[in-house]
Amino acid sequence: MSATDPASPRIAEEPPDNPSTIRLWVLLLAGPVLWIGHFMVVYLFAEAACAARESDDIPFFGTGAIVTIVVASTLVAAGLTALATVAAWRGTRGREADATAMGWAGVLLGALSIVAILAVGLPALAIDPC
Amino acid sequence: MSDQRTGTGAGDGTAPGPAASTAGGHEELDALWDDPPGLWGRLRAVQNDKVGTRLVLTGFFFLLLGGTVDSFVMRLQLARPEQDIVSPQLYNEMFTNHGSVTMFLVILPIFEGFAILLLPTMLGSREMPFPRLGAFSYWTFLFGGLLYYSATLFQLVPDAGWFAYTPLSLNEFSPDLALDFWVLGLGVAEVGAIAAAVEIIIGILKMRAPGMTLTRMPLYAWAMLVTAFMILFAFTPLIVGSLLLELERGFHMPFFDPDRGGSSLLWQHLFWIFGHPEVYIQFLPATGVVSMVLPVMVRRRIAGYTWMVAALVAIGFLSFGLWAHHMFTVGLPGVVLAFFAAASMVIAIPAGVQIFSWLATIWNGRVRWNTAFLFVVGFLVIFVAGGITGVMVAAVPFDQQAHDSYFVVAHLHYVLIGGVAFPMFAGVHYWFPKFTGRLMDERLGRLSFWLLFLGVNVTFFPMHIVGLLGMPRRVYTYPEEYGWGVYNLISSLGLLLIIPGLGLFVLNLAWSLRRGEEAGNDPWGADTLEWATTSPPAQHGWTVPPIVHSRHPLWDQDDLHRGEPQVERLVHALAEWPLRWRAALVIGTGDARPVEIFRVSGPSIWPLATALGVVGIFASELLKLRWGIVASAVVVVVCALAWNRPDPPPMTRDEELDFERTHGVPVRAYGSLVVPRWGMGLAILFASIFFGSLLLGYFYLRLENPVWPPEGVVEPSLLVAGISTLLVVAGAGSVYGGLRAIREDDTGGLLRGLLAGTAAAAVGGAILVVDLLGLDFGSTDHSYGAIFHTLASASLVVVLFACIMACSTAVYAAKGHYHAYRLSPVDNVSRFWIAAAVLWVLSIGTLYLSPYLT
Repeated sequence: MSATDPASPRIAEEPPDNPSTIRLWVLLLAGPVLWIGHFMVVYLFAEAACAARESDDIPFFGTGAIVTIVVASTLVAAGLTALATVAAWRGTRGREADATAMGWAGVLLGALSIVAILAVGLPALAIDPC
Repeated sequence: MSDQRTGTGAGDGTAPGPAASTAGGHEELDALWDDPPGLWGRLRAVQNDKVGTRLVLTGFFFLLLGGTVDSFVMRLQLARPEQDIVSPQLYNEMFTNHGSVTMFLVILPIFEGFAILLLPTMLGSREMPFPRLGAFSYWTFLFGGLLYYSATLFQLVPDAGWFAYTPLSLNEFSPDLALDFWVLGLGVAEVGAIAAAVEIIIGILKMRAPGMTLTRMPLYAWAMLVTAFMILFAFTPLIVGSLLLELERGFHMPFFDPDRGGSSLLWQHLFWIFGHPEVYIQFLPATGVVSMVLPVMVRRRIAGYTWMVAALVAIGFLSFGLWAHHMFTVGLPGVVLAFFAAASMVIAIPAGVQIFSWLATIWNGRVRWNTAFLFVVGFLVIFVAGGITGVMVAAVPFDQQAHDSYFVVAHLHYVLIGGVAFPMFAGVHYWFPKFTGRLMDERLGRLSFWLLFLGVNVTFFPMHIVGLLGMPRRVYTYPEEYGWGVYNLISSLGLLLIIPGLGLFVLNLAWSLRRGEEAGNDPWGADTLEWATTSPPAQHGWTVPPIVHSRHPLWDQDDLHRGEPQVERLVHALAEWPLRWRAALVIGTGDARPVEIFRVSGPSIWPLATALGVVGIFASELLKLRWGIVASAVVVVVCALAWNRPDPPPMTRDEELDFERTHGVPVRAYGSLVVPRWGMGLAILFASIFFGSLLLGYFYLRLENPVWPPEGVVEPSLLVAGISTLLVVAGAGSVYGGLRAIREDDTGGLLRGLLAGTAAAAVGGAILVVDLLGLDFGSTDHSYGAIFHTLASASLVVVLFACIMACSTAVYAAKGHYHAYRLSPVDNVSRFWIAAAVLWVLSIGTLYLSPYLT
């Protein structure tokens, strides 16, 4: 029995999953993934920039620059998350009950992620960064 | 009847649920899936009921050992001021042991074991995907726990707190082997935790009943899915941290010693990146249990299923942005404090969503006030109190006052006892009849609930006050004039309620196991699939796997085996010839349609042997037998190869194709294509997180050292890095070429690809080894050398694994095992090679380029 036998399906070539599954996961997880991505970016940046300020004679980043970068990346991340949330919202209009429920969970997660991104990033406006 | 059960929920447990078919071959299948008898059989046992029960019972054993004995003596010591029942040293050992045991050896194995026990029946499948991995996980957990506890025999009990902060845990202040017992014993248990997590993820995503789509999964499965991913992401950095700590303790490599370029904060970061998610790793399974028990006890569907799913996922993500709230007093930059404080407060939103969802369900339902529900209510009350103090300590100024005081002790015990232990008790009362066939006694149950509920509040509530009065944690005594005596006395008296409460619970278990009322299949009128099977379930769980059309199949479906004709024929065929071997169904992750039938691996001694090899590695390091590490590693490799030796397939290729033509689903009697692919994916994810943590460690140390590499060290050779990297990448390409050849049934091409790839990568690795040996800096002089050698060695180990895999695959290829339709192992080896090459490029690239770039 060889692979070229028409009765033998090309098992190795089969995609492991229905492609729509990937869409379901993207709709569900886009918000929180953007949140953790933003969190790590601003955290690692602030930690590195503040450490550099301590050790360098002429700091590479001024205090104002750190705040600007943190706030700007917060706004960008919140905007991207809003787009992802809208996409998940569109996903809820699908006919399949399963896609609808996952899309709705995605909308909730997206909304929470926007709140969380703003809560994490905006206090930088009021605090001495280092 | 079905109308009556829809809408407001099920009846009072009297209405008969839809029957699960046991027609045809029930006994035969039961025997086929059972583990062999006798001692030798027990050592080879892989069946999920056995492995799960063992994990739960062993975890409970460690709870009685470390959770109660230690706390009793500590409370006795603190009951009155200025007592000296125990010495300060013994007190240090006791609180270290209490924290370490409960955090590492109790809650996690109980929940992972319970998931392995319950999930297959609940999801309508026959087994977990890798039964041998489950057995391996149990043995490593058991041996790790015993290795850790054996410290007591040598009077070398760890005493540096359950988080073993450096420098206290380094050689200067902990010169004896006590801390090595801590690092190495718990390290073995961590390996077991990750193995079980891999098993649970794939079990939930790929092995459910047909029709059980993602949003028809019980919330318990969602909770365990999120938890298992969190274990993978949280325990891996801890393993890296433990590795670095042991390298510093045993090999004097300075990662944490500031005098030689290390950073003691690096340990805190690595520990708490694990440590905080760990709290939610323990809490989420408990919320899953509550989400199953509560709706059944109030006879009402859970309010806001999608909100609950979103809350579980949100907690899973947010919990990874909280770790530094344990470090608010170490002097982090202000804006960093704000990031972590904000994330710590935001996580209260999804937790609150869960609480309100449960409250709404109770509000809508008709409550049955039995023991299981009482524990759920106890959970809600105590956990909410602990959650609110949690938001308080998330506020930086408050935390800086309360840090390291008894207020924190009160908070964490409210969260862990209320949020985790009470749901566990509820779950035991709820599922005990399913797995024993008998109900637990209600009167004993209620009595134990009230003793525990009152006892926990009497013990831990006064700790809030005494903490605010300024009592620090981890002190073995206190002076009388501080006025803390009365609160401590009340706390200690509370234990007089908790201990009889626990005792009654154990008594209830023992009594009910023999004398309890017969439970029948479904004593609660519950909604999920496990209640349709016999109590206890058959070894294979389901003779005819169910077909699911609802989130609450037992409330909404009249027949559990009705569905599309083709699927219906398929599930019935699973009970009959020609599938009289350990056949299990794999479904599509999203749509839950059958995608393949594969043979689940059977009983084997090799998981135990491999676990012995793993514990041998750690025990040899403990005894400083460096040759023993190498010998044990060889044992692990040999046993793992024997473990994965292919069995002869029980069906011919023609029989497989015949079945496929009839039922439209491929049969893979030689082994699954889908499940190992997921396993390899998760193994690669584990390796990526491992290297990610090491790389973060590298950059953290880089930031701590303004001069990098240190004075007098020559920059590493780019030529060496370039040539070795090219060879490793070429090796991965060659192995991939072998995969392409076997897709065309060209075994010769496969062999050439595997062997050429191994040769290229081996030469590349050898070049790097020669370069490492000739470097002008050692691994013990400076953190630069320490992390350089560690990261390079880790890359070499991954490439070594890849070469071993390629060689073993080549042996089977030469015997003609692989064909275009039978290439799953080749496929996975090729994936691992590509991952190994990517990790090599990233880590060797960082090591050799960053001294030039920064």
